Amino acid sequence: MNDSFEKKSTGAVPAIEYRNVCKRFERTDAKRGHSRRVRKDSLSEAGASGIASSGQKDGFYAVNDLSATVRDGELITILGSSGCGKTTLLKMTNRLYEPDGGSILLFGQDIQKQDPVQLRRKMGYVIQQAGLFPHMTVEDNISVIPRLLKWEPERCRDRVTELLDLVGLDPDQYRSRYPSQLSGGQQQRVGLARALATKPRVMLLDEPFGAVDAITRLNLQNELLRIHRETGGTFLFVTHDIHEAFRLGNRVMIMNAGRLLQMDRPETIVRNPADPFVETLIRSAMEQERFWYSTPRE
Amino acid sequence: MIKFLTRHPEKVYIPLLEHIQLVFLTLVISVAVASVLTLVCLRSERLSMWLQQLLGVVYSIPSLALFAILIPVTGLGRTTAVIALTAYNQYLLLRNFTTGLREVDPAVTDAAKGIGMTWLQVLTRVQIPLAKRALFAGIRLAVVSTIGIGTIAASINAGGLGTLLFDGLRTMNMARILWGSLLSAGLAIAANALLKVAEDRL
Repeated sequence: MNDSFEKKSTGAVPAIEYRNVCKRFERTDAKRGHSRRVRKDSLSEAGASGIASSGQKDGFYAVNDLSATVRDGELITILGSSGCGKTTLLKMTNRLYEPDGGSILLFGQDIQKQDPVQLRRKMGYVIQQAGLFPHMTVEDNISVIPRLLKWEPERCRDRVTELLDLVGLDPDQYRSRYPSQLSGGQQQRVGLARALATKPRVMLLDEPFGAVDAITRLNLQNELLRIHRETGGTFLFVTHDIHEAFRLGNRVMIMNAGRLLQMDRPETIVRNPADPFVETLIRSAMEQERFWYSTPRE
Repeated sequence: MIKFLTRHPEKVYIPLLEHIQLVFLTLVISVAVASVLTLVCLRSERLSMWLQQLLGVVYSIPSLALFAILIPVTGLGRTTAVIALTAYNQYLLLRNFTTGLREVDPAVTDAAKGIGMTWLQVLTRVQIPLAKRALFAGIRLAVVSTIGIGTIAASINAGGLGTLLFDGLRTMNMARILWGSLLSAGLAIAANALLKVAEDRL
């Protein structure tokens, strides 16, 4: 497979480094319109300050003083319940949100000093329900950024074929379909292919398999592991499913209320939970599992 | 009625052409202005609210009154009519444009931005194509309303089918009144139907 990510000699430079990252949301705003705040945040691409906002209104920290290091080529899963800040953290990584404090380094370089659009093109981004463009075919969806980058049509086509093969969809059968003609699992595959189009070294995945059934999810997880192996990129995978997090991650980041509780290899976390919350989390997961082992099957 | 048409065809078709011209000119300017305002509104929610309120007030001014306000500034004639009609259209267009664009699934626009589109690319490649029906519906509404209000523009010498109507009323000439009302109603209905068909094809 000729799909390895172009590796520069990065040596020991970590892929991503979070340094005391904070993100604060104002509650007063949230009441009147959550979308408004998000819109404002996501549009204010320029002029982000690295200093915490001085507004002392009734707010809360979605991400609070979080520091972590992600090594090149790792598959990190970020685990936490909804509202714990995991999506916010991911969105700060490609500057859909701007941090209110701290800094994020991508291969040693501060992302605040980079053009957000260029930054995002260096990273793949997959969200729940894929976020495919409904008015474009699978082929156009996947090649949208290559086309913006003015790749030759030939090259775009070849890349689409290659990517559809990679995500396990027959190119001839699927390239000219529209997203509405695909199942949820297939849409996710196309979403993955689109994110991989320009061979990004970093992939951000925000609960990509959150809306598919259990069997499809298991297949997609296996495919993801294979793609990660084949591409050798750095993957950040947000999920609220503990089984998914521990199954996929080289290391797991566990977050709660905006804080990083523990970041370690799955086995280490299970053996040495660093925090009562982590312990509860693991115990509840085992509790759920018990049903399967205590019900005899004939 | 037919006799009037055969005897003075220019008295029917010239106002009709004038009217179409007036509507077309207004439409082009209106859409251009509304597009700019929409872009501004998408950036700032607060400004958007104020602007909607303001345009709502403008829209509620009776057309004769609005013409009267403008006459001291821009005088009698077509310019004044186009300005007034454009002002009315902003209310309809801006409303449809902004809600249409905002109703595009935020997951899709988020994904578009997240994979590295500039805001302009998100707008032209994702939001506008997905909202085109709503945008077009706004234009259709504006056209129909311009055809209607445009008849009153004759009162300030802007020409159009209103001249037929007003002349007819003044001289109690039934043929003129009928031609004026038939054509203006017909034009509005035809434009609406035509644009509706185009809209459904989108």
